[in-house]
Amino acid sequence: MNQIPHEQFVSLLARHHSLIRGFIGTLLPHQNDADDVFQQTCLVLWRKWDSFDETQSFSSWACGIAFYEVKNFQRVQSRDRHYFSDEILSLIAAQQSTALPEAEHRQRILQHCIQKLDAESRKLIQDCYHGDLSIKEVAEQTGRSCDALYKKLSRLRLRIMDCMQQTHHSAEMGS
Amino acid sequence: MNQKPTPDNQTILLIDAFLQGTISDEQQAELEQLLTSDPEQRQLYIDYMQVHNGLSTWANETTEPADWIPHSVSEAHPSRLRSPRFLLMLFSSLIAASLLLSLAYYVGWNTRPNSSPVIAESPIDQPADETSQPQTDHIALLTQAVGVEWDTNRNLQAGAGLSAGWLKLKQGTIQVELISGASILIEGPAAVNLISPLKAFCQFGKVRASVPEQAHGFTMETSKLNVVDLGTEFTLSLDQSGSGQVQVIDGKVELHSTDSQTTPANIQSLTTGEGVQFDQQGTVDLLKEAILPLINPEELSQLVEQQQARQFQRWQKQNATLKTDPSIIAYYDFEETSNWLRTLNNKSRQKPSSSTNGAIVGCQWTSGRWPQKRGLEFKRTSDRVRTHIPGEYQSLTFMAWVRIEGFDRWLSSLMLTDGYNPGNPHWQLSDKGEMILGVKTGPGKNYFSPVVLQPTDLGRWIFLVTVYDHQKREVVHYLDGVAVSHHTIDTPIPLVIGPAEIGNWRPQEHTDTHSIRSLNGRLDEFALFGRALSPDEILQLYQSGKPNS
Repeated sequence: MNQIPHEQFVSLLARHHSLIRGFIGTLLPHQNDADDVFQQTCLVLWRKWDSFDETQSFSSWACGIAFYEVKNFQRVQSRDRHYFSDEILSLIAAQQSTALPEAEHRQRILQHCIQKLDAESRKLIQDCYHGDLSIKEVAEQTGRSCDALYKKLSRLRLRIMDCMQQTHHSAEMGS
Repeated sequence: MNQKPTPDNQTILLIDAFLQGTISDEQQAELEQLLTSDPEQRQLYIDYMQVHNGLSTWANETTEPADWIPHSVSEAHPSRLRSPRFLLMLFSSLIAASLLLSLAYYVGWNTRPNSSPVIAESPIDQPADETSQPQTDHIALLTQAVGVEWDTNRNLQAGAGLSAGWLKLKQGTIQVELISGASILIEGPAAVNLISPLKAFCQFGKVRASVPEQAHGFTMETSKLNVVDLGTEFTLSLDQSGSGQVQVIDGKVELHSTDSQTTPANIQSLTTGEGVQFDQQGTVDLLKEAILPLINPEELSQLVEQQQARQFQRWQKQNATLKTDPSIIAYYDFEETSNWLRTLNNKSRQKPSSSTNGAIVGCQWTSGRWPQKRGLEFKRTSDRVRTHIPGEYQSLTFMAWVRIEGFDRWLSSLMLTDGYNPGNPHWQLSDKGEMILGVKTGPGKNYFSPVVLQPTDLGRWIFLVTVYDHQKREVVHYLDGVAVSHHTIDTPIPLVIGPAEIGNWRPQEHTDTHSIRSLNGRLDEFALFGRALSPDEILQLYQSGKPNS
């Protein structure tokens, strides 16, 4: 299918946006930082689109650019927050880049594992992660303490991680 | 990372503190030390953070209301990335308007993680190709379907929203209206891929496209030729090999080569009455004689009416049988004689008492599965049908024909008892598309089906049945006559209903955040049986009542 170049860019970005956002999220754990850098990265990707070589993978090209944007971001940030050193950033980024080709598959497994949770847990995740309510508000609504809620979320993350591991090694996903 | 991390794993504890913003300087140093020195701990960190990011993306994308349901969203954090839609804003300043439509289309989807493509069967691990489309954004409506046998697993009915993807027909005729305003009739056997509101690809089959001014430029692609419509109407007929004919019924089209590298894009223009035939080699000749025009929309409407009359008669036979079924406790067929009646009569001959007649509150009369069938519309949070079902039942079967218009909240009522007291059943749907039967036994037990309703099921008539079977000690949920899940009942108890509501809930003392559960949609048949129906009976009920062929 002949696509005009910018259409192709948009469709590639649409397909990989959560992967790129996820990559940035492992380097900048604070949601708002990661969102800002992601937006900045999209702009840079667009500016550099002409130099994209179609024979390479879009996701590794994009994550490469995202990595520099993360470093730039940290450089201009005030030091009132905990950030990782450049050395650690490089280690984390490098370790992920080897697994990029499978990233889409992993995301599908992740979605599958979220769906396997009971409805109550999914509801809790939605309330906590959606950002409309603070953790404190969700805790009040569900009659838990903040601490208990944080622990519950941690256990849910572990459970999903465990499900992803199992699914990855089983025939359940037909891979 | 091979061993399963436990909640007290030190790395996880440190990452949690990091995420909560409660990490101390010492802990931060410890975490950095772990991440620097140990690749396994680094992998654990990456895996865990990817789950964290994935949940964030999922939570923000799944709560976006579907955009065909009016809904006000309070943007608590306008600076936060809410969904890919933000990309639209990002690019609108960069790229010409021509791109925006495709951008909105490519990027503005609402990824319900579980939504499967409408028809394209894509196994979860199938790598998508570079041009694959998001699959949950409706770009068209299936407005008519006559005599259709689909060549796919999903049995789509008129009224269904269509995402980008394949429409494959073994036989029959359908009408598809794209959101651009273009509408196409497709006559089977055919395979047509909807690509965007302004583009479709025909592998084979007969297609008739009507393109109003708003949708100029609508393009029908084939493997050899692209037909670009510059106004009004053309037909295209293609055999399995890719050879075929194009003819303009009215207006003007341009033929473009699919291979613009080697030939000039625009091969020729055709106006009213003109046509060409082309073959796989790319040879294009003017048609000497007109091809037989395809069925037109008027003829299709007549066929639809005849089909509906036949289906309605078939349902009427079943309706007569149900009225005399000795096991039926309440049977509402919604066929009341006038519009000002505010009673929904229990049509069962064995009516236990007149309290089982429903009192209609707020709901407006409207049409049901067919134009000649009546139904009630549940729209406002106050709309409901109140009833009172006496007695105690070892087993129960709930049955409803319903057309969901949208999931406004977490829970939508099909039938709920007032409050939630011992022995009370609660039959409802979740906004994820799960069917739920709750039974109050001590703390209350909820039997959730998996996610069975997809965005494409909104706006179409669906047949829901849930069986509480005391004998077999199981709860079974059925969608469109087929069992979707089985659940064991640990301790069966007799069910009592008493005062209850169809399509809403009177929570009594249950005033938590989920106390509003009004249904958004239509009902046109509802039954309660005092026994467990068999799978065969349920399939039979579906076959005689379904509103499509």
